Amino acid sequence: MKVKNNLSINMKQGKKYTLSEENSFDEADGTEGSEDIELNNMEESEGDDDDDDDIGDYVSEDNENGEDADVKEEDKSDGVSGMKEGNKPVKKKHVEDENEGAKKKQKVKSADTNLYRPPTVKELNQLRETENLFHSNLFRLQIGEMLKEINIRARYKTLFHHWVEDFKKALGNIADSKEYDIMDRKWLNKLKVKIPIHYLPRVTGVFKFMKPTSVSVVGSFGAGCCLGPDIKIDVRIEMPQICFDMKDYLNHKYHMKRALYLAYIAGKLQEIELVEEMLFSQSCGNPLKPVLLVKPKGKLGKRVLIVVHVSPPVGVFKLSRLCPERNNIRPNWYFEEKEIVEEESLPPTPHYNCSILKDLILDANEEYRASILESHPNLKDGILMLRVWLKQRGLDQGYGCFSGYIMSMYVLYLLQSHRINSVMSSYQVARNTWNNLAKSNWTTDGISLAQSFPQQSISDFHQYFEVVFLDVTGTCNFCAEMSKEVFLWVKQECDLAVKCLDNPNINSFQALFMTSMPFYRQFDHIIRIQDLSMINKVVEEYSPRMQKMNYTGHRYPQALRLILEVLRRGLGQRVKHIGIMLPNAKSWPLTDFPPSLNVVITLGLTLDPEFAFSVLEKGPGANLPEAFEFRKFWGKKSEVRRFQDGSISESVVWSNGSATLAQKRMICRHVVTYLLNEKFGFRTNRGIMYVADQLDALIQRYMLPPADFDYGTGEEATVRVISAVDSLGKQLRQLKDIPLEVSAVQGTSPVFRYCDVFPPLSSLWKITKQQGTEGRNYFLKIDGEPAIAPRWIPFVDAIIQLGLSGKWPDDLCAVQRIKAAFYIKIADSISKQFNLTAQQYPDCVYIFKDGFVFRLHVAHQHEIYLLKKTTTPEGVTKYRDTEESLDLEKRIVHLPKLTSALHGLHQQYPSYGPTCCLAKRWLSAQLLDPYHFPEMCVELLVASLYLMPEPYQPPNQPQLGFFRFLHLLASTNWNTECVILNLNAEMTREDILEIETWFHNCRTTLPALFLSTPYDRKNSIWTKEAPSLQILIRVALLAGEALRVIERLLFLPIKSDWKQIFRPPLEAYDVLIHLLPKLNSRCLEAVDVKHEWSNHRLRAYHKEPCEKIPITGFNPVDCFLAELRENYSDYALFFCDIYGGNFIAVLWKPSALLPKDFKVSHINCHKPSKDGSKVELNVDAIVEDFYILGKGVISTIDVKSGSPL
Amino acid sequence: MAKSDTFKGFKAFPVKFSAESTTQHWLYYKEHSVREKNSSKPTNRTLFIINVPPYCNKDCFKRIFSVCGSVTSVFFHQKPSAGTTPPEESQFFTKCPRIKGFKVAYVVFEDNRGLQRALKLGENMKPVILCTKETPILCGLQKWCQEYNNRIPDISLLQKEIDTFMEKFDDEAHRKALKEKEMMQEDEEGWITVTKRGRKPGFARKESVEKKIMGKEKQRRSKKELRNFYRFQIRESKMKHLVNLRKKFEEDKKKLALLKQSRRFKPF
Repeated sequence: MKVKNNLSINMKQGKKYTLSEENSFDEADGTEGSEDIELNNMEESEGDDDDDDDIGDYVSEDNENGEDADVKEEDKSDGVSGMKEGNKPVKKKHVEDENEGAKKKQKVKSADTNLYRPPTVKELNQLRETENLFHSNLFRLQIGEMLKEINIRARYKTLFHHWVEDFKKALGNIADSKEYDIMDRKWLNKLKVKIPIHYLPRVTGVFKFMKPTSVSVVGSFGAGCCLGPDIKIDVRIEMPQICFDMKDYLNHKYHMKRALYLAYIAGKLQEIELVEEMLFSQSCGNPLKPVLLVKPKGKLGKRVLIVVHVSPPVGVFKLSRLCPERNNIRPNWYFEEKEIVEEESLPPTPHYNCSILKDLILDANEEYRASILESHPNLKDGILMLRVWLKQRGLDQGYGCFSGYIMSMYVLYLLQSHRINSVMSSYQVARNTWNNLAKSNWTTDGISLAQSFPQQSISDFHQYFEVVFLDVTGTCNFCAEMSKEVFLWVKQECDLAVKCLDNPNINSFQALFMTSMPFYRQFDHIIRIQDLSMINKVVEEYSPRMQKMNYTGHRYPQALRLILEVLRRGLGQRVKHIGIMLPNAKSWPLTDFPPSLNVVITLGLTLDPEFAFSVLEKGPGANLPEAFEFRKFWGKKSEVRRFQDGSISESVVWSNGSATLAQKRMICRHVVTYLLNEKFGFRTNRGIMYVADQLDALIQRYMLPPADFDYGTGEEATVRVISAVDSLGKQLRQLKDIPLEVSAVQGTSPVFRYCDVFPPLSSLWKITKQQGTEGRNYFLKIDGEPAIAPRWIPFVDAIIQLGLSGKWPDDLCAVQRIKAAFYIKIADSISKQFNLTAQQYPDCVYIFKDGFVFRLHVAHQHEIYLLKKTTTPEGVTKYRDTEESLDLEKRIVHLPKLTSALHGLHQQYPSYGPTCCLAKRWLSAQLLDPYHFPEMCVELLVASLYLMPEPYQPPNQPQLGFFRFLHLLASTNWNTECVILNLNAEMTREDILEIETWFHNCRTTLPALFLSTPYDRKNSIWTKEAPSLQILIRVALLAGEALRVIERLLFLPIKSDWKQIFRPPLEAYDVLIHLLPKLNSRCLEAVDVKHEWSNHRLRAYHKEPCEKIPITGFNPVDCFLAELRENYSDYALFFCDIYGGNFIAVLWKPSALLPKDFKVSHINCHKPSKDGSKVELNVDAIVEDFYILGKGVISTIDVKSGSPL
Repeated sequence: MAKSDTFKGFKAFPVKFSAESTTQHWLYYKEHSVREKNSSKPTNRTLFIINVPPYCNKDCFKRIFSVCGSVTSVFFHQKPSAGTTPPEESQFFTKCPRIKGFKVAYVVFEDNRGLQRALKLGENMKPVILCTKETPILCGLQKWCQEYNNRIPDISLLQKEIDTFMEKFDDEAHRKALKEKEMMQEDEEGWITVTKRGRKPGFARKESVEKKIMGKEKQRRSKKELRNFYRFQIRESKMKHLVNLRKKFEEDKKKLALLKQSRRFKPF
């Protein structure tokens, strides 16, 4: 061991000093000999380390926006760990180094004026907290890995360069054409090409193809920030100046010529060998701007698609002619009117102008970008990260998108305004961009890349565009097509991204970059306006003349604009934001006409739970001038109302006061359909698909709903149970003649967490013929063999806490007896004191109250210890977990705690309960009942969607929560990921990290699905027995398939069958045991129940004298299933839908089917094999046993052909 | 399969549920012989049967084997066992877990002849019928209904049972206390037994208590030690710190490797 006591540190400033011994390190050569450890890389000491083995390179830079960055690089190759941390919270940062990036290890800390303070002991201690830094380390490495994945391989680059050279040559060989009239299509037919632009009438002029003046590679590939692995490369072909006349920017002439030029090139390229396939498409979805997609021949074509743009030479038109306020489409031409208007008074055509401008300013901006990126290579990776982030959110494609181009220009803007600097890491670039974008608002305060550009003219742009971001020339708006909603959406995502980075509890990298966020998993409600003729009509009737000219026939933006205007106002505070599903750019073969200009409009709403569910929209006071405006907007819905505070106001009422929560969630739908109908005459039943509550049907009660209230999705029924247990608790606390007073009563059934798919209903229960009465205890029992199963009445579980007493015996049996004595006493006195019916059992007591049957257990904490207690031969008492003790602990300790935590979660996010119900319903419908996938496990997984929603926001619509639940099941690798639920924030960051480490270290011994809550930390008690790995794999398959179906359903006509994802595939099972529906107590809950008795309602409960407890918790199907599992679970798995499923599916365990040697321990259920040497599973006898065990409830048993029988 | 009636000394014979049944289960049986003797399962009178279907009950076994000789008792167990399960003291509170699924049976005959005859039972290979009119086996819906009804206890009986149990329990506790008190008295030689009760109780013999005592002992010892006194100790402690850091770094690296391995970084 080599010990160095002094180490000299060479400060950057050239100062040299020696660290005192306290701060020096012992440097150790381990047995490997190569490991040298540096401990003196103190935080505040900045400078180069002169040690032979280590080169520390410190760079310090001040950041414009206050996020000071201090970057240190170390050589990682020699395995040195130098972990340091600032005394301020460490920001996760990352420095890019083009050449040495892979080898270098960088760390960042905050620096301030006392940067050069000598290190203190405290800081030394901080060294140990490497964990905090690990997060950033991990982040950096993850970024590195991701960038590697999206990089374009060098092979393709060289292939492309060769290809583009050949391509240029080929273009150069195209001969000039004759002069044609611009409306002449004959020559196009000869080329077998259709013009890629819509028919524009009355364009005059001549077209002549001339050789392009230049061909260049532009766009992100040229700039070196292109998203791989499949890439699109923009190639720009410059048309020669001669092709244009002076005033070609007028009346579509420019676009026509451009399209013809492109068509001519496409026609000629057909003969060239370089090209595998060609399609026309639109640049950014703009139908005026066709582009040519070229798939190169050979290997290149696998990954690369060439996008050919045609553009005019710079300066062909004066930029000032194309300012937004100018008119370049003459109304007399466009509308074929005679009258001629003075040019000054013509309406402006900003969008039309912008479509030309974009081609003209391309070069200037490209040059600017190229020059900056060349001098600031560190920006490239940052831009790439931002583009990945945009793409995952689906924001960078389609008409009016926030494209990667805009993003990269914005990064340049930030650089220009000194909010990003040249030494920032990619992480810092991304973070600062998010930060700034989240704070900016381009809808009111636009920005401009042009230097010395007057603020005044930006406000001019605001008159014509919703979002403003000007290019380097200051004439063109990059965001011309973008609607306000898209910008606000991006802005909100930025805000979320920064929050996500600052949240230490989640893996922000995964959330930000690796999770794709399809539209339907982002928004609570989705509105699809599918009826294209309606959209047409809307534009024709309601769009102003000026806009028609401005968009020249492109109806989508006009319709969108009109509809958004109305919805924005109408939905107001109800929605946090409106998202637009940007229509994908279409592409079509050369021989086809361009596709229709009409596009289905899809909008998404993110609800604001504070306002979205209110049934009333309060307007201005009836006597105020605004009232007129309000009345005009809301039409016949508006009415004058007097409010409790005495005010008289205009208001709109959407529902009566007794609306269920399920109905309240759909108020936005009423608003939207009413407004679309009122304002544009949309017929609501057709043409508009509103995706929000399609799956609610699965958790509604169609059959026998309660008579006294609307059932909705069950929340109202749940509230009734909860209030019943509360009042029962009050009564129990008032009981007089029991030895210990009742101190608390707490419910533990799923219903108390709002998670019961079908919460119990109170009703008057009739005594049927098969049910007899028993004894004085007002009890119902079953006589003989019923022909119809009694109706399903579940009991509601609750536990009773008794007052403290030191007199409990120290013996398990005695405790049991005393508890039983309590049950007898409680039942007696509650019937005496409160006239409630009760029935004692040795292990619980049933109390019938308000039409519900409560099953109460006394919780005695000491019992757990008694169950754990063992005594060693030496007489030492030990406490070891046993099966019984764990079970009891679950029931009387964990369940009450979780119940109150999850109940709280539901109060915070009212969609939690119904989401859980949908999730449970789906799992059960897929024949995975709680035996395979425990209820608590489902509830906790759903809770994780609310506690860690990143990258989304917590869902407000149960259906959305369910979609995300399916995605969670389908995409999570449970082997490497654990779910840690920080309920009520009871765990610290350290606790969570500890559990994570524990999880990774002990993975093999832990359950297949590891779920940790603050109450069971490392034990994962709810997933110990189930789900098994096989079940998880099966669930992932089923969930993935369900998601695919849902994605398809979203684009289908309105009346589609959403229940299909709740119908299980049956191919995999060996035996199907069909049951008699009459003997299934829950058959009315089935997914596809026949609506025969749908008029019947349950009778409302009212107290009657001499009540009797109905038959509770008895379902022959459950009994049968339990018996099958008890007897045959070693040889087969049993699957059943507990919510009214009418069959049980059986799957033989493959291992059980193998012939075995005779062994006493493994002989059960086997028969001698044919040759007599071995034994094999007695499958046919088992199937017959199914008949025997299920006597009375089975209708038939289907054995699949091909199964081993 | 017919002839090979011995599997490691076991003979097989088929049974079927009822006369209409088309399939059969195979019981395997042999003479019960184990080293541990138990008077309730005498060696030369007991038949040991395995692979007994879950629905078989004592009555039906008694009937089946009474053709060989009179049967004194039948025992069912989850797994082969030499002993017997203790009889349930109470009809409401069970001590032993219920037998689940297939089980083993011991049939005790009055004399050896019964056993001998029984051992030849399977030779004709005719399936024996389990459920007949004399010994019906309750199953299916009927069974569940009955189980549901049987759960309803007779309260007066239950109360009575609890009272007697608690009386006995209290008596026992009282007696125990008395005995302890007695032990605390000085015996002839002048010794006093230390018990948990009394003025000077001994420490509780619990694992946690023992651990605490051992821990305290260790702490006391470590207090006497001087740390960071000698130079080499300082060096060593720094070294330790270093090793910790290194370990952590290694751990982090491992974590990363794991991440790399398990998570692909393809965003699309």
